[in-house]
Amino acid sequence: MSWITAIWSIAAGVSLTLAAVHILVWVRKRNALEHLFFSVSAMAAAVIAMQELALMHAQTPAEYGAMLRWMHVSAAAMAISIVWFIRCHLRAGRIWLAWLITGLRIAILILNFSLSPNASFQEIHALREIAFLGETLSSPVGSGSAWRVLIHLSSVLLLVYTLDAGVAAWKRGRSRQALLLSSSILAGIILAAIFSGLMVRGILPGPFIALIYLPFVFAMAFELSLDLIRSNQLSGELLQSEKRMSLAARAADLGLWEWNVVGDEVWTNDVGSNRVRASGSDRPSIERYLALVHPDDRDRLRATLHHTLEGSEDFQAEFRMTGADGAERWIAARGQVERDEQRKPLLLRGVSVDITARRQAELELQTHRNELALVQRVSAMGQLSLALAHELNQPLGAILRNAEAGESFLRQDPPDLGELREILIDIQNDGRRAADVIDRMRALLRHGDLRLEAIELQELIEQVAALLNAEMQARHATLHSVLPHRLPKVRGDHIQLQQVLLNLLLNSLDAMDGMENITRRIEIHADQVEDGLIELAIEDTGTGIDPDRLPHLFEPLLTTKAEGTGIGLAISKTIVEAHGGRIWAENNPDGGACILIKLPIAREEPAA
Amino acid sequence: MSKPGQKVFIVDDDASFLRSIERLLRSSGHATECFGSASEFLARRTPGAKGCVLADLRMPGMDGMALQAKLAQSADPLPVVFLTGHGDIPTGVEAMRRGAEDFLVKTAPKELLLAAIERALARDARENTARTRRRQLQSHFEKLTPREHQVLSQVMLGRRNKQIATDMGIEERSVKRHRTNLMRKLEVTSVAELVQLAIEAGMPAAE
Repeated sequence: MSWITAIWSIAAGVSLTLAAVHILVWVRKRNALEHLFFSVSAMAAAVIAMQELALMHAQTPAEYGAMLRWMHVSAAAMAISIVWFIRCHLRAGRIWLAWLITGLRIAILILNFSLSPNASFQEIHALREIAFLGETLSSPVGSGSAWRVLIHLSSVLLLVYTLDAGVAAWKRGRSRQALLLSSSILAGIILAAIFSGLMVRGILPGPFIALIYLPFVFAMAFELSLDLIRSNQLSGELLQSEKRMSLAARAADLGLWEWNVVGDEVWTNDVGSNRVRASGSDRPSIERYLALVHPDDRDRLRATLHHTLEGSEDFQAEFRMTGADGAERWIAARGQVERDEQRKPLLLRGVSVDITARRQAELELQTHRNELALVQRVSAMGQLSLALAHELNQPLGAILRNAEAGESFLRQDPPDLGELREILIDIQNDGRRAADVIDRMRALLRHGDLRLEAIELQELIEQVAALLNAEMQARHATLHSVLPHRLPKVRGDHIQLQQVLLNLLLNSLDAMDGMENITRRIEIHADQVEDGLIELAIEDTGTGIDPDRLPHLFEPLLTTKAEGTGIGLAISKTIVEAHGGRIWAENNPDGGACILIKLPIAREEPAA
Repeated sequence: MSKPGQKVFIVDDDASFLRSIERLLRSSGHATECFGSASEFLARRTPGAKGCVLADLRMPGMDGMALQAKLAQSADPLPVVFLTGHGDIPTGVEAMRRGAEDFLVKTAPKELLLAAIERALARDARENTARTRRRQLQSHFEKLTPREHQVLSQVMLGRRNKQIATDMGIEERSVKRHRTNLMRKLEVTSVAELVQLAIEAGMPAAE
């Protein structure tokens, strides 16, 4: 075999192999179009190599001409695929230029097939024999076609296009790719122009395009292989990272999830899917997941999801779900929305944690707290029992006496109906009064869960004052509250805040009990102090607090009273702190103690 | 039933209870007068009024016990019946010790309450008679001259005229004259009568 045949065959083989490799890559990654275009150009190069070989061994001018005509097809395929390869790979190049070149090459092809013998030659008179690399090869003798100017123009446009794309890619920091590709293409185009000129002048047996394009094919292959290697590396890293992530997620019992908003599919990792199993497909819709959410939480969760997609905040929710084992689980989930350029939500991705144990512990703790608070309330009410019995006997006594008087009046002849009517009205009022006393007592003795609501302090103080009214009187003390007009409401549990107030007032009464010759007076002040807080001060004219005891005042079982349980203040502290507030004590400069409480203001619900 | 001129003075800060007890007493034939507080009663009451006081033990400002103390200091202390919402024994005992007629819860049976009022009114009538007599006696005793007083106290000690005369450094005749005068002024005829009267008028039997 001659050198020429060997070299050209090898060039064709190499090109074909690369073309095959990259067409396979493209089949796997349909959106990686650069692989397709490269494959086409490599295939074209392989065809060109074979065609050139045949060209150089042509026996007649007609054979040469026909061969060259077909070579235009593969040359056009190569030029066009290079144009689009550059565009896809460098992500640069002017689109109108790309189309212009494509159109021009197709126009040349049409010309090529309408002219004889082809677009390069007007006529091939004869074939000249040239000795090249120890072989005798054919070289055409004839006149070049005037249309060759179009071929040159397309080469110049390709040159400009490549340069422009190279510069643009360079500017965007892809300097290596830009330099390698555009320089090899530029060199190829220039050499091809020179060689085809030499061929037309009969100096070379063929345009040697196969050889010229070979370095370019290698350059492109190198580039794409680098990409492949890089993406392989990346996918390897991704796999590792996924493994690490999954290990971490499993170790932390962290559920990972993604909701494809557009396709409405939910994906979860094994932790997530073991925890709650939505029936049906692998990728259930969000509604199928919501169906597993506790009915009480479902609408709230749906609203939160909706809000997250509409708004700009991260997703965050705690809710109950039916677990894979059928038991109820508390789930805490957080996530972020991924959006497209139009800010349209595409994906909500996040993590979820099973907080059932924590919730249960919290619930138990709260239940214990509530029970302890109830016990202490009962004990405080015990201290008040005498006063309350007194309070209750007032209206009951009045009812009894009225009824007795009424009976007497009825026996008169004629009965005094006016008097009787008044009696009945009074009886009704006193009945209501007695019921109120009982209601106030019952409210405080009720076993209830902590229920936070907006509370008017004035009202709260009045209710406790009513409860303490008889006790205050028995102990010769007075209560005054000074609250500013339009004081914001505080956020709290009605019963528990009443309890705190009751404890503090009873304490103040006790502190004033032993003192002779004082005005026994308790004053309650309240004001908004800083953003979001209300300060409540309860001042008395009692003994004050021993400075040594001041720091430990709210510790449990610290009592100086004979009949106290010593948990009133400790419970009050627990309650206030559970409300997000603070409680502390001071001594007034002019005698007596002052207990101060800070409580958070209730956020006003917007009027519906 | 109140005797003519006797009234039940009701003192209670609870307006509704005040009205109800007033109706009951009125329907039982008592004359009544109502007061919303102890100080109002003390300010408004007519001196020398007869009857009794029915007062709530627990009242803001002056309470029942303080009212009782004030009344006891006055010239015509009326008997007091205490009412309370809820009776606590120590307070009740203390009230009784200080001379209250009775101590009742507001829901006490009507019969107990009316009986207590009757007793208080009767006691007032009794004490009133005694007081009138004492006042009469006192006015009699006030007519005595200092000398006659001296002689009287000596007589009360059971001394004879002679001893009195020696002790006072006067004639026995003068002692006799003083004795005759004071017995006439006091409208008594015997020494035994004189001694009884003097004790009744609150004069000590011995100095």
